[in-house]
Amino acid sequence: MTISIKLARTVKDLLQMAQTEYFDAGHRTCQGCESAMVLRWVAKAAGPNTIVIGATGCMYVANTTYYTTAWALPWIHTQLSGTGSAVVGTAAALKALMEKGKLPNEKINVIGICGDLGCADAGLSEVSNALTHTKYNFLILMYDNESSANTDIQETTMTPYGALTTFSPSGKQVRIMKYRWKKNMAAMMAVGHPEVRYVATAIAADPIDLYNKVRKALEIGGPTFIHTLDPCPKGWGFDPKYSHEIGKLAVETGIWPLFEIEDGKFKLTSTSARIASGEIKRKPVKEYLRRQTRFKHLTDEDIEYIQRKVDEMWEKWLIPGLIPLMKELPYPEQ
Amino acid sequence: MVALIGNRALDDPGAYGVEHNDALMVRDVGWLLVWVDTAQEALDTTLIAYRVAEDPRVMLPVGISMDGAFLTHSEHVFKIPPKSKVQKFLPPYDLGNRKLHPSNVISVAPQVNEDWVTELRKQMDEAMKNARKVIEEAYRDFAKIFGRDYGNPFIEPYMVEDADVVMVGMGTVSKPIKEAVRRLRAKGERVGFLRIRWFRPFPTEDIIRYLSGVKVVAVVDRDYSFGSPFDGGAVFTEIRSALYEAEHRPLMMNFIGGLGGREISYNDAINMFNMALDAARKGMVEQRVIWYGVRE
Repeated sequence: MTISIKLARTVKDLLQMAQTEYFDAGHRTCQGCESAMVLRWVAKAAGPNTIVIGATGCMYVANTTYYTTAWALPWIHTQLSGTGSAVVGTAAALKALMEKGKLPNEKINVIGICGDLGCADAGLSEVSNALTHTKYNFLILMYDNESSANTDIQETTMTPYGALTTFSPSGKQVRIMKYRWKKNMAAMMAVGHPEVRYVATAIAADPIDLYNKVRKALEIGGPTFIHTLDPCPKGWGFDPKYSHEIGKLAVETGIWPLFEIEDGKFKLTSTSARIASGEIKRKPVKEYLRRQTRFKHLTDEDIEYIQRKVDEMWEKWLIPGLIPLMKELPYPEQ
Repeated sequence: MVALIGNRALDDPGAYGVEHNDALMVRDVGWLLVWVDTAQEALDTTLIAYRVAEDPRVMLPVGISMDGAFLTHSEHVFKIPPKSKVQKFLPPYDLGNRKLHPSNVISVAPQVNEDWVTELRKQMDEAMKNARKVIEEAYRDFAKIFGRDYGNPFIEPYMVEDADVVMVGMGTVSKPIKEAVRRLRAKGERVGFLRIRWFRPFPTEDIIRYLSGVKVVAVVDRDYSFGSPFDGGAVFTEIRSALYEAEHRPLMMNFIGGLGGREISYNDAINMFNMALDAARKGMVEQRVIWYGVRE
């Protein structure tokens, strides 16, 4: 490992290390909002010497109502697709001011927060461009609730196959409106930007894993990227009390592999590592899909199709979860 | 924030040449807008613009427009001021309590909705109104420090005293029009030119002062405002509005010309003046808006 920082191993560690809240009361996210939970852990992991840049999205609209902002960190809004430019600009400005002696020389984390629409769709070119700016230190966090959630659940390219949104309803003529497979965003950022030293996927249901990944990303230097999958009760259609459970199922069914790439080394983490090692078996995707009303119209054949795609990812991809290219079967080579 | 805009016609269809609609698009969202007509003025106005934009009484963005191609892609001789003078004119930018830094935990540009937008817009309105005074101060200090005096910061009057017909325009169109004014004056025609520098804040008082007494005001718009009250250009519409409460309202004509970088020569300007002089003699305007040189 190229970085040495204290990481949390247990829940007890976590509670001891991250006592202060920097994403605090005052927000008005929905009950069971996992994106808010992600921000809470990210803020805890980052600590007080941090500047947060929030692109338009539900985590802007819901968190920073005038006079009741939830952020106990300096925070600034940027446009929907502005995250990449804003983080580079902020990090570059800090660097320049410190070099000129106009600010005390210290480590200040710069974190850009964007949703799936702001990051993977509208802001993709800027985020990609930002990740080539290796002179500056920042983290881009993509909170992915698989829809445009604050404008009443519209489809994005991150909406999974078959899911109902207000833009992809199921009808008599077209049962599956969202036929396009979800983009592999973290992998795209890692493979497409070889100089980025840290890229990871995470989920709020696994806070130890998430916390450690944020700490590593902020420690390693240069541009870094974390993609979290955030169950959204309103958009996905489940009771808010099951948010964590749905998140866990996303990992346990293998739909959401948790991984990190540190200095070019790919590693599955937490539950996903245990799946890969055979320690635990992947649950059928049906257990995840049938818990959410956005998949209620799927037939058994549809679910089999999704299962087949997920199996393919784990069994046939060159690197499971990362590179959707296949070697000649059998793989690994005998 | 200061933006130096090389005015260019907006796509589609594509064009490299000048048209002012690009900068005018932001005229109603709180930008200060200024037009220049030489490279020297572009440089000087940039320094002035920083001074105005960073003044705590203003804190609004400034857009400096310089005509695309005619000004941005041509060579001019100009003086670069020494650093010491610039430092004297432009104090270090101090964000004060709005600095985004861990030592100053603030939220910038949060979601305000209907609760506060009205109040915040009113603050911007106050800032824009303050800008008039701040601009005057900045030009005054500029003249003191750099020794170049632009006179009235908002407008540049050219031979407007005793003029029957005054043409109004923004940007490099001033050059051919001034030439036309000189040639027509030599023939005894009472014509003049008024160049608008600051379009936002709009120089209403100066417009009334210089234009309300003349017979015909002819506005050359290197832009067009589709569906505007008299289907004319943006400058024409604004001047018409500014003169509504003037004691004497002149006749008004509007030339839409030079779009997409088409040249307006001094001969074109003389033609326009002749049309305006004709209207002055007749005491009426036959065609209010003329698309100058349009092929139909």
